[in-house]
Amino acid sequence: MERAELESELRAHHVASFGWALSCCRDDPHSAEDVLHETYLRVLDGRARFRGESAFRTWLFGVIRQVARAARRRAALRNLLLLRAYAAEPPPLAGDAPPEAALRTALRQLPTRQREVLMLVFYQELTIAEAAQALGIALGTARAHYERGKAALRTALGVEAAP
Amino acid sequence: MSADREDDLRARFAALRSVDRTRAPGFDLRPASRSRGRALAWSGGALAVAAVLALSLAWRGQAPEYAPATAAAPEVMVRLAVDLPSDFLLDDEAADVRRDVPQFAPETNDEVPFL
Repeated sequence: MERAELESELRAHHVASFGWALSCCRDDPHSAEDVLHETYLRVLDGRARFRGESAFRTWLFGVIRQVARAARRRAALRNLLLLRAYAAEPPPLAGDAPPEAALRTALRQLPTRQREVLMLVFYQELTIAEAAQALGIALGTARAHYERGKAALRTALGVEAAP
Repeated sequence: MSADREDDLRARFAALRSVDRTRAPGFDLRPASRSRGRALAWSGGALAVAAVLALSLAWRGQAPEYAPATAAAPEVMVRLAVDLPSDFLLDDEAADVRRDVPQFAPETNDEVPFL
């Protein structure tokens, strides 16, 4: 893809990408912004190359996830070197209404894979197969995380069991 | 699982999505000043560590050299060995100690096998 085409794609998916980066950064908007910017730079300078093996958005979400993981590892190393006794847990997002705050809290309680699958399927409206591609896992594994994640989320939200 | 229940989850996530849309920053591909700041912070940290190491090495260079403890004079060693209290050792052991005690030539401090 040419640079102009890449920029156009990135612009088209910018808002959705920010939502996914926010999820990957444990709802820390500043980290999400950094991750998103780093992702764009990697895409544009060719360090992350789109080969057309999946939809652009699916591939882009995979890159965002990798960049966010690398950023988390760097942050953990920095905390270790600076001997910080506490993990820097971002504060709750200001401006959330109670239902949204409750959903974020419930999502944070889920295992990472379950949270990622639910965010990709419900928030980003990907199919489970696309979510599996973005996460680099098998479809069956994604299905299992999807079902377990839904059940765990319902429990955390206090939603009644299905009749 | 009922479709209604999944719809309820979808509605919750849709509300979350619409809230996050308002938080999304503008699309911007300019080089990040924040990243440059972090790079500077890391470089500064590395320089500080290097400075501390250099100071430490310089201080060690100025410190007096390690001097191993000098051995006791041979005469003292011989006296200590020969004057071991006899009630501390059995007779045979005391004899062994006296027999095996190293002897030194007083002029050179070289150990000699027999005196």
